[in-house]
Amino acid sequence: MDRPEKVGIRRCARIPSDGGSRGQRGDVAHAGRAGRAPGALDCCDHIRNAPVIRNLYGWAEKGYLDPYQWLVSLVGAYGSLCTRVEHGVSWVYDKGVPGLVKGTGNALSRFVNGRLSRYLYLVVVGLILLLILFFAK
Amino acid sequence: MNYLNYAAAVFLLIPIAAIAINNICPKPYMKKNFHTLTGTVAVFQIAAAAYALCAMNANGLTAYDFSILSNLKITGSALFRLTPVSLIFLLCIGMVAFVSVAVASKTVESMRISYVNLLMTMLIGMNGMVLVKDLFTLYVFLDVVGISSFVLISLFRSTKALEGSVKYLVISEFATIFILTALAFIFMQTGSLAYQDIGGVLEGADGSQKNLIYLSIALLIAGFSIKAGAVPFHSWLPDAHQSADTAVSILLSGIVIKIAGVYGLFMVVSLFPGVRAVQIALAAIGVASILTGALLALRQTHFKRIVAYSSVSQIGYILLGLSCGTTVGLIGAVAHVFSHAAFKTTLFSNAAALHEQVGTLDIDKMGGLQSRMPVTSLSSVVAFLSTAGIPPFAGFWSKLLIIIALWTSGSAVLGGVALIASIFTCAYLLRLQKKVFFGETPEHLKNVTEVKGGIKFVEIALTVITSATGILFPLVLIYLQSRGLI
Amino acid sequence: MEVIIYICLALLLSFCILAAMSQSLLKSAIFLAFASATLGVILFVLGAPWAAVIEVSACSGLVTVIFISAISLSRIKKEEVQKLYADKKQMKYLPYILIIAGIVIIVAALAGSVALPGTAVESTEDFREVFWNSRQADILGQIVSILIGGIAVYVLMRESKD
Repeated sequence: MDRPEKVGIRRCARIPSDGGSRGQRGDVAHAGRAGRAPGALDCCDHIRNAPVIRNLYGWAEKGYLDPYQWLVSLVGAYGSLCTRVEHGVSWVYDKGVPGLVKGTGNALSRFVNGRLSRYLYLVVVGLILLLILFFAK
Repeated sequence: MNYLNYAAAVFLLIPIAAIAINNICPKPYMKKNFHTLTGTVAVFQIAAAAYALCAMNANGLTAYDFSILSNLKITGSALFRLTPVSLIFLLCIGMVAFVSVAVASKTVESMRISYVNLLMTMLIGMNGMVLVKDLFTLYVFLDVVGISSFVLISLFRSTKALEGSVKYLVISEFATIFILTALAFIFMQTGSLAYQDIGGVLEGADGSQKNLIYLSIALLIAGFSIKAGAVPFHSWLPDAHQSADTAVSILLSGIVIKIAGVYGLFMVVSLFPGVRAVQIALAAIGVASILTGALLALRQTHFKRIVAYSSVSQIGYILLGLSCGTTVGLIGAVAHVFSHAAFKTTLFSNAAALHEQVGTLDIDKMGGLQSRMPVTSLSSVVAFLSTAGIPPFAGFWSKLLIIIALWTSGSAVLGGVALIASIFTCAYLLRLQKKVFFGETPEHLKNVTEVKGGIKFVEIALTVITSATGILFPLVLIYLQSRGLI
Repeated sequence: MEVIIYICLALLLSFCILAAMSQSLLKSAIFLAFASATLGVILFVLGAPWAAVIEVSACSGLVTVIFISAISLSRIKKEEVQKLYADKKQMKYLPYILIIAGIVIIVAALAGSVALPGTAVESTEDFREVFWNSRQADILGQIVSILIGGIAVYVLMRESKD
């Protein structure tokens, strides 16, 4: 005569090396599980693998539904934004304004080349600009 | 009143007497004592201006007419006029002339007789400009100042000096042409060039007459801006100021550009008040001068050239003050004329001291001179702080008045620009101070000592003047408030 | 009368441009003399005879004599001056272009009936009295200008001691 409970106990005594990951196939025997059929821990796999819920579980495993992860990401993003702004402001003070001032100064310096003819052109251009200011309506 | 008349005659007759004494006395004696003669004339001028200011204030006068050659009872023979503003200009002229003489005692070793002659003619020209009541006479004395400046720049006939003076002369000719053309047009409209006859010329003018007057005003502004060294007419200024002897640079930057240029623009604003185009033109030239002068000064490595471009920048502040068209703006502009005369002559005196002791004015070859030339370095720092508008020095108050005037007259943007441009002023002068007086001293400068004699004396005197004017300026403001001017 | 003024203006312009751009100092001085003489004619036509006399006698006569004396004493050769302008051959026709442009403007002004300055009204007062009584400040300025001129000639033209 069969003694199914003894078989079940014997089978349950085997401890799988991979920690029961083969539970889906139902061939890992441990306490509470009977035979080759899917055990009690897999009993809800059909819910877990249901169409929409499967995605939800996936997102949960990745941490998308975890408010703590949200907060951490938010703080990280804010910190990154602040760093970019700070680098931008530093760039304006350390490179932007000095570069602009130096570049403009260099350009003006090259323009004033010491030649009298250029100085006289500047005088004439200045007078024309003044006349435009006075007579433009 | 008689004493006031004598005080007035000092400004025109004493320089003529000095020329006579300079050429009559034996040459060896005059070469040795030229600074005594010219220094005495300058001190006379300062004393006369100060006395006349006090006397006019005590008697409640706003103007005093006088003549030097003919009888005052003849109608129209009172040809010169003293006003409080002209007395402040005369005080500045005396102060800068005194500093120039003190520096020249060290730097001018030859051509001393000619230097005295030219300085005295320049003094007559500048004094005449602020004392006359007629535009044509103003032009005549302007030419006197121009020719004596040209000759003074080329006094030692070095190649650079001749180049600088020719550039100044040619560009000045444009100024002369513009001003004379403007005078001709004004004369066509009014039949007279006296200030009192020009005053209301725009009121009764119709379309074509108004256009002619506007053309004249534009030409006058262009001509006087050339003389003032304002952008875009400024190109001659750095070359001329750098290449001239330092005693001459002190005169040019310290007072000539202000009398020949700024005073002329001051007269334009006074004769044609309320003309919007004049205000816009002066504001545009002022802003351009402030920014261009500062940006170009940042690029220079020659001490005098940096200070020359600084002059271009500071003239812009004075023009901004004039552009407001308000009393506060005019007061700020005149105050800045005085404070600029003080701190700019200090900086050029420092240049003279450095040239005497170090032998070069290239700032890249200097460094760490603060411990070796403490008086020069302290006066330089005080001048820098005053230029940058940092309290409690004189420059702070004048710039503050100008910015307040701009703000209250509705030009808040220009006030902001003037304020921000002070950062540029700080930048180029800080760079100058750091390179010359701070940092490590090069090996070849370890034996440099402080300058002695006249240069040291004027450095100390000007530092005291800059500081005292700043500390005591609130008293001036209280006085002006009691007079209802601010 | 107006035609005379326009013709004189065209001549004045031409002589001035030629005086400024001539490569011979002697020719420059002579063109300047002609320019001063033309200006004297304009002043006379406009009713300023005293100014015209002084312009012709002093500027056209005396100054030209001084220039020509100085040029002959300095012995500068024409070839030396021309060498300075040897690389500026493209400017050779510039004086003529400027003169033609100026004459075109003057003809346009003549055709467009541009208003000329009115003739000066004869003054009842002698100009010497006007000068002395009303323009003393100008006299002072002119005397100082002449003084500076003398000092300038001495300073700029002195012999170097080295």
